Amino acid sequence: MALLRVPRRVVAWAVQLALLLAVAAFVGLALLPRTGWYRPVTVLSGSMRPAFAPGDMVIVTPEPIGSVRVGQIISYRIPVGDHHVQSHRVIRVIRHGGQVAVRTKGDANTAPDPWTATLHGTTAWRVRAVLPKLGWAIFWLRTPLLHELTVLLAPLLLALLMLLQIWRGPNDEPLTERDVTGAPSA
Amino acid sequence: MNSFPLRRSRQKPAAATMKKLIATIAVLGAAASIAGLGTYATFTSTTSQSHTISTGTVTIALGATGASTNRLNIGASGVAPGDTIQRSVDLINQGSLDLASVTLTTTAAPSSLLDTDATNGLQMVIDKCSVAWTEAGPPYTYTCGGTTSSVLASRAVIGSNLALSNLGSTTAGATDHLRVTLTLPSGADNTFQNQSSTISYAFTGTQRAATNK
Repeated sequence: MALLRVPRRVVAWAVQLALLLAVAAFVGLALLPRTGWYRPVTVLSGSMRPAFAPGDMVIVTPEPIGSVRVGQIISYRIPVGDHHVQSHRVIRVIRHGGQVAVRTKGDANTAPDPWTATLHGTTAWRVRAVLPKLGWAIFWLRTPLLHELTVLLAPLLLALLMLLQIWRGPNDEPLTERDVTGAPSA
Repeated sequence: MNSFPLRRSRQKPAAATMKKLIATIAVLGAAASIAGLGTYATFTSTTSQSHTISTGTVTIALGATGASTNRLNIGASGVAPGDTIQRSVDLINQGSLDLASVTLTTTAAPSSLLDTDATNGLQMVIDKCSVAWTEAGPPYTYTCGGTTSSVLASRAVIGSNLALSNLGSTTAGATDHLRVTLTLPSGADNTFQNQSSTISYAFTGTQRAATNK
């Protein structure tokens, strides 16, 4: 038992740290984006290498369309095809009346995008920061098997553990802090 | 009674750690699924279709000059109203991805009345042949041993992002045999004398609509 005591403590701390990081990720990626201050976006293609690559996560923030400038990287819906969202660098800004349209180009592409995109609404989304590889992690966690394990099975297990604890009776409930974290003395 | 707290203190840290571990997994899963919502739902209802992970290449190229695979580098002089200039060019999709569309943008530098007058200036038509064009000349003329189809209907020579239709080279690895025909309309008057324009052709391929991979 004496040999196991230290590793167990290390494991406990590591798990504690992992839990903290997970909560931080939850707050940063899931809760705070709801405020509209910023938005995390997973990059799907390589046309903006080396600025960012597939699997990276970029943080976009709202930018009034009046202050969109050449050289900024913005995320917008392309005006052709499937109208997917794309993040490319602005190479030209065309202002006409209140309308703002942009020409864009991927840093790794040889040609500009073959369209002129009109920016709708009052704000555009501008790429501000890159979190390398984080998009892969999210993508990986969203694969069907892992999604079910994490979103269904893990909470279920947690609930079972809690039920077990309740069923064990009131004797188990008053745990002192020493019982949880301290090493047994005898 | 004395053995009970001892048992508890040995087992409790492990159980607490286990609970925290499961909680970590649950929180991560929740974060990922909600972050996903933020990424996809707010942006578009169609991005679930653009979930491409390994990327291909988008490369289109023109055939080599000096043969019927690309005669676009050959100029024409002494053109009179009513004259026709035919040039062949191969459009090759060298990438690994299919293309949603190929567009053509033409520009003129130096420019002249030949390209600035949309009505009486040069008119452009693009056709394709299912097999390589049979070339005669110079001056070059082309006949098709297979079937011809229209790629671009007659219009003024200068245009940007012109949609090209009936192309086979939207498929990765495929080649289209194109014939560009420029005509100086008979309506061109004396102001068109001694004019000279250099026309540049830029073909741009756009990646096909993404799908689930």
